[in-house]
Amino acid sequence: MWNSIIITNNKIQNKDIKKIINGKNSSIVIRNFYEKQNCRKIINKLSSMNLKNDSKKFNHIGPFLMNYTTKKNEYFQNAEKANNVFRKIFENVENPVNKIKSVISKSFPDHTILKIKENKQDYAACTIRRHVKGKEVNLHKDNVQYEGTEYSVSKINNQLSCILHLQETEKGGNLSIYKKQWERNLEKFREIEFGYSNFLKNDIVGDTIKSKVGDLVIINPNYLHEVTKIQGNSDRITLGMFFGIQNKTKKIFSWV
Amino acid sequence: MIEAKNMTDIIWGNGTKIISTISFEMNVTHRKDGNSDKYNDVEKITISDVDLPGLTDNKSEWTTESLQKVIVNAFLKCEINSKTQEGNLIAKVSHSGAAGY
Repeated sequence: MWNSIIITNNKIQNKDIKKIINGKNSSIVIRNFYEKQNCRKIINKLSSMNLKNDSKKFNHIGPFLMNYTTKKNEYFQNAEKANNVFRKIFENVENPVNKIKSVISKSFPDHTILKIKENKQDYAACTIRRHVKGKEVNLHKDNVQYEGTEYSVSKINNQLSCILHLQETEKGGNLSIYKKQWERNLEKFREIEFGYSNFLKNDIVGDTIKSKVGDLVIINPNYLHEVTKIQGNSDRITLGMFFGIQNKTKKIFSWV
Repeated sequence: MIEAKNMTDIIWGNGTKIISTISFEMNVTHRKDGNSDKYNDVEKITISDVDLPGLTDNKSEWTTESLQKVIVNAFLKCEINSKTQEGNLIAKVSHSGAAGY
């Protein structure tokens, strides 16, 4: 068994974070982290804004750094545009990005969360992804230390991924995470477009996290993970962001 | 002497060994459907252009060590421009599918 740490009081402790970093637990799930009413307001706002997606193919708002590994200028230009859009989306609700930063900050009392800039440019605050019926996200990892080497945020010791569920689908669309950390020799099991062969999860213990609207899920994204196929008619909509922890300087950065 | 072959074939695989400051050996794991040529399971690649995080575009700055860091074990996409008489593939080399969800 490999289980989530379930939190119901919006408070996580540093020992909880350590448990997901070292793989003792699969994830932290903070139930009802963000008010459902605010999730609904954000969805309504998204619908009313007639936004152009950053990527038509994958339907997300906000650039994802890993899509710009050698195109820094383009990333930061799109990050600036996206941050302006996010300001509008969040103008009448409690800012979910700040709320996530706050809970992470409190779990690292001896660290400082910094708004990191590169050449005076901001990283994107978050990404909002809309996964439609039939969509699934292949087995993969997120590791900025490997693929984001041209960015300052790659100089970290540990990476956390935070996913806030803004809208759930009726069936499927669950996050499954496997107790297998990515290492460079797994690159020989890569799929062409994205991710890794499903063969890698054979005989590996995993945990499927069933999240509700308003739940925040925190994982160590270097463990292989996937999103199961969305089978309901409603889209799965999430807000995601990464945190990087620098042990020596006791600094924490966020980006997507 | 280079034999120009006007190909746009693509192969993917993992870098295994650095041969020089502009060439390496690769285990080929995937081939584009419709490639005009056949490719062996192991091919030698001479880099014509590069799009690899952590490696400058300026070839004169490349060393075997800098190629080692970004090529060995990495999953690479090679867009083949031509072939040398010795059989090395001359290709644009990039990281493939780092993200995209």
